[in-house]
Amino acid sequence: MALTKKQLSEILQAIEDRFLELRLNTLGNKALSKKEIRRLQKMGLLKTNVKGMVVDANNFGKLTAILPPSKRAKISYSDLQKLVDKITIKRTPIEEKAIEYATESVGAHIQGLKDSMLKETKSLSAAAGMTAIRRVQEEVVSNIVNRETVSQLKTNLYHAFDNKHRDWYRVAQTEINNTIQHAIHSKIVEDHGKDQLVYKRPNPDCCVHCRRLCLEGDGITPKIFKVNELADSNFGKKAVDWEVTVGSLHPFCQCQLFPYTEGYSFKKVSVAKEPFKIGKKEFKVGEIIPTAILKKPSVSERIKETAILMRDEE
Amino acid sequence: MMRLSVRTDEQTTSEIVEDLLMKSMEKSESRNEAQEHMVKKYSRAFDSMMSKLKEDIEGILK
Repeated sequence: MALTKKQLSEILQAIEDRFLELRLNTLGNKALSKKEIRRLQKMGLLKTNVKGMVVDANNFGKLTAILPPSKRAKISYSDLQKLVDKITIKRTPIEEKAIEYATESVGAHIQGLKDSMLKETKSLSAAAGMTAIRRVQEEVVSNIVNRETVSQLKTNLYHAFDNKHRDWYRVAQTEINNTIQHAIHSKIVEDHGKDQLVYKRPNPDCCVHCRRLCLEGDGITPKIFKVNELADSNFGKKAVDWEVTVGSLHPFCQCQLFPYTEGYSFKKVSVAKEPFKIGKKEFKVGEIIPTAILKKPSVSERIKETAILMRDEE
Repeated sequence: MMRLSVRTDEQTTSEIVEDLLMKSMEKSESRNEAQEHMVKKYSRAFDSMMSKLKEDIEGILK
């Protein structure tokens, strides 16, 4: 046999325990039951005051909702934490409920990953057992077969486990962005009301769907929406039926929600996509390039076109 | 501006935001740095869990 029943049972328990620890580290103490807290305490893995990624992302959303696009992109995580420590972030009961639902959603993803790993462990172990039996029947020395089978089983298990990294990365990226955008949405409604105009700013490397839904035909200028017109989610819809949502439009979506300020409009500009120097003038990444300089051929490869929100001059 | 009513002894909330923001902007040029950091932080939590799990399995199977 490849694994004894005891070994398999211990591995399955290790998966349960490590995922419990992951839930604590990513969702915080509040997401665990008393029984789960006791289990972590017994194993010496319990930490106190863990907020988790949903609360972290909500704080980020609440604090950055007031910032213009260029500033929001540049606040660092450590400075964000300093702000969170200094400021008491007030949340409405609806926002608290939204955090609870978002936590449940991430919890369900973690549960799904854990169940899938438990299932794969059991089936790989059974398959390894069958291989071992066949080889012993072929008169290979039994203990050598067991050693080789266990080694191969470990390789297969670790390979299966490593494949889960991308699944988790997708959950982390999508859910963090989702929570941030919902917090920004709440702050916009709270400050400006449900008729406030907003726009979604996709990243330069966004997908065709975000480009189609969030930008005008020029692929640069953001479309303007009323904040209460945004859909809740595209979950379960075909891509052709997707709408612009408050949170992530789709898994891995990183589009950001901004309030549109009255008296401002979008102007197309060219900005530096890499640092460079023309004469005595140095341009940093993101800096607007004046039209006169743009005529110089050497600049052309170092710029990209974008639309920025500027006060109307007329 | 953000309507946070909390005031520390020396600075109002908006002053703290602006102050930290300016320092932050001097240090960073990347987009959505805090958000990307957050994703990496929670992505690492998973990797760390996986490493510990593999150690557990090594211990069980040795």
